[in-house]
Amino acid sequence: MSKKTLIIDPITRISGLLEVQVHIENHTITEATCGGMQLRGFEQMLQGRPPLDAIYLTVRTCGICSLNHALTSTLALEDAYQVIPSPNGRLIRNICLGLEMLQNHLRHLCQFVYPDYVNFEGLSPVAKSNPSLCDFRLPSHINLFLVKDYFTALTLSRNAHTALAAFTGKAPHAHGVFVGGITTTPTIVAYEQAQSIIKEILDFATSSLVPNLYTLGDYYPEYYTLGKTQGAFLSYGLYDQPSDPILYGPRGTFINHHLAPLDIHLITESFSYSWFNAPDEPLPLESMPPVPNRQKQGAYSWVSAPRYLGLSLEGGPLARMTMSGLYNHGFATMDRLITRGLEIQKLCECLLAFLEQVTLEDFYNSDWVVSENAQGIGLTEACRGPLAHFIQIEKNTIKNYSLLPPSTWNLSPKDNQSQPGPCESALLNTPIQNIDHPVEIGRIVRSFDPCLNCAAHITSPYKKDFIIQVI
Amino acid sequence: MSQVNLFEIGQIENELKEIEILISSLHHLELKYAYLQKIASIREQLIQSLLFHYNVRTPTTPFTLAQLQQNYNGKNNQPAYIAIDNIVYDLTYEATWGGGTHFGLQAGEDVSHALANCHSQNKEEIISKLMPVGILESPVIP
Amino acid sequence: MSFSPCPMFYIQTPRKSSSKINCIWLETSGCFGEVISFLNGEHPGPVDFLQDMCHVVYFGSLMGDEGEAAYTHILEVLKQNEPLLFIVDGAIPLKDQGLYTVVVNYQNKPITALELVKQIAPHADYIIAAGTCACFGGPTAARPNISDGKPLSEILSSTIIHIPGCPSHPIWILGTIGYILQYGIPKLDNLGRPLIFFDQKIHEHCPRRSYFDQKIFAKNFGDPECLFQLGCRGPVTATLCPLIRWNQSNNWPIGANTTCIGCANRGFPDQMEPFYSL
Repeated sequence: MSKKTLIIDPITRISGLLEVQVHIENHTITEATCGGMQLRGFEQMLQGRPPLDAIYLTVRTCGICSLNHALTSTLALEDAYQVIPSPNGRLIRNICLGLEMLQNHLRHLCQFVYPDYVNFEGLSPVAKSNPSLCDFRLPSHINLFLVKDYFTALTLSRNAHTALAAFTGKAPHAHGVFVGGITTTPTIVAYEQAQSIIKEILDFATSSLVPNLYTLGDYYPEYYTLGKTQGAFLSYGLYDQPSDPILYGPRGTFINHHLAPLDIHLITESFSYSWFNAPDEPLPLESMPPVPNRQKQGAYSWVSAPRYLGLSLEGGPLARMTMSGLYNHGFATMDRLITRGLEIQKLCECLLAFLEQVTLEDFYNSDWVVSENAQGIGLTEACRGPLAHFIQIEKNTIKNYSLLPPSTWNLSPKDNQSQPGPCESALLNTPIQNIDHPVEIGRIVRSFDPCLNCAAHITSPYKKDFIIQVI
Repeated sequence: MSQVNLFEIGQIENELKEIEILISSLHHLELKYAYLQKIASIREQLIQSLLFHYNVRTPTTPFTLAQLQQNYNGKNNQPAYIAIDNIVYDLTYEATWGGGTHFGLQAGEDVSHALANCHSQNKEEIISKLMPVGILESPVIP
Repeated sequence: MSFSPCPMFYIQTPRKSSSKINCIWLETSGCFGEVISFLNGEHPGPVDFLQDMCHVVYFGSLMGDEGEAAYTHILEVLKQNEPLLFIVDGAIPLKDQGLYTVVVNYQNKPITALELVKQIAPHADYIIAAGTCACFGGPTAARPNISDGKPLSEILSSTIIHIPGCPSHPIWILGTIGYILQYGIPKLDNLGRPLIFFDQKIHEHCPRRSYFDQKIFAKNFGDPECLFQLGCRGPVTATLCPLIRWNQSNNWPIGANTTCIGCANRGFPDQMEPFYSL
């Protein structure tokens, strides 16, 4: 009866700092914890600042999903100030959201995930130290195809940012996305560049990336079972408006294989295992922000545990693909990777359709005024799942600001009922072949595309009933 | 004296002080006092020129701090004025004060302290390039 | 199952000097945007950096190994007496002995960013602070700075080359590294920034300068005129953005009809606000 506690820190090839701890008994994981290792305190930082600065500050929550925050912050401010963005601007913002996702998915799959399955011997530091212990199964000619994917993804993800910067000025940490639409002057150059780059990415996904992901699944079939979660999902809706040319992911929850509409008031946050002084009962979103306490006994993460109706929900491409009916194979590691690849294709199709609708005039509506006191909420689907920003403005300054990013859901620690988060539950009961050199843990964790820069946040009080404006 | 600016005046004053030190080491008392008187008269001329320069350069339009804060803070298309050592300057088109703000400072305020702290090396040089529009008046306390 | 390594990795063009310098790129408390910007580099880009310029032994976002195996690379390279390039991106928190940013766990002991930079720095021949957070504190240290984040220069007393930017441009980073490898440390200004990239204000080269000079100003974001009255920080920001532009797109923040927010400045973000003066 062999027992071992294993700590993996850093989990490399993710965004942010993550520590995973597992107890292994008889070659099976009996307990697993995922801990966010970094806190900056964005909510407290935003208090007292000019409201319109929130867009530029929240983008800096994260480098790889930066535009998601810009857009969500903009939507929260538009909700607060009751601004209708220019219709063309809205289209371009949807395209920008898609381009950021394309950049993220390409980098995640090829730069972050591939090195766990593909041998990169010779390329330091991507190459593993002990390749013979890394469970590489691909024959060398197939390995070569995936290595080529890695280099192609470097170029195409960079191009996605080129297309994005043509609209937003720079990536990451875009300008351009602002209350009222997109500030950039419409030009045929930016338009055609985006079109060309999106087609290039679609071509790569269709001809190489997605087939290679399925091949990976063929050589690693047990990963259609390893890293399995309940398949309980949350999504704020991506390209789900009636006016959108190609509909994709619906807004709502997916629990027990049933789609249900979203009720934002059913979200609570628990801090039992997080480094904050807070009561053990989960707090509704209308609560005072807890104070950080790094010495708290029993806690192991800076991330809070959001729950919906007390359930731990998951977000991301698997959620969106399942909820839209485009994928119904399963909820395990390989499913997450494959749906991310399939989503690249779907996003490209959606973006090209959006481009067809765009006219080269009036991206920006500057005809709006600020209110001295206001509240607003912005909801978007980000790369990794549902992203929410809440803003409360008093006397023209930010009284409170709160972020609830997708990785807070996906990489959530245990809640007050000791119910694990999605990544933690995915690790439970995983058989480990070699406990001195496990390969399974990193593979499962990375399939969630963790982003711990985003994840660690403190909720702030929000006292109004939400009326979610669907624009 | 034609175009004199504060920076140059500061330099002249420093030179005068150096000469004074040299003079005070003289043993010949009569000569020493004659030279010191000469320095005093040069200084008097400098002050007159400075006053003349100031009177010509500086408008004497009075502003209270409250007026600056309410009507000249650079917000909402207002002009951007600041006060330094009781003189009010117009920074509306000063490049480093975009939107009427500069490194956390807002126009419409007395920034003497901040200037002395952040630009202690070249404070006079900076002031010499600004456009004065009036003087800062303390509000009358009844 | 055996396999041969990919032959394309052996196509290398060695630099003027004989062997490649070792490199540790350590990500601390930031948003990891520096790495994304670095990956956006083209000619040179990340492939040149990894294959040609340096022998990168530790890079959290890209390296194959994880956990203790990853940290062991650092321990091994510190034992060698070889030239070392140390790049830090992110600020260094001091609160609670630095536990607001733990970067490694080794033999059941958390190692903070604070500890690790102090461990590596004495062995480094060149230290680069990449990004505004590492150079000046940046958004991580914005008030009230609950993690007590500090710039690298307040943690280390060695010479540090500062390459600020939020994020910094890949050309500034890879250009500086290339310069160091070829010619040694470039001339630095009083803030430790290479003069080749940081000695001219945006205002000097802004294509909208003639609007400024004629006092023709934008009223809102989205307007094509000079953005001075909306709070543009171009006059106080010394970067090459108007000339080099961003992401090979020929666009840049002012080109997108928004103000420069001075993201490469000491004092960003607190002293650069408000970013939009109404």
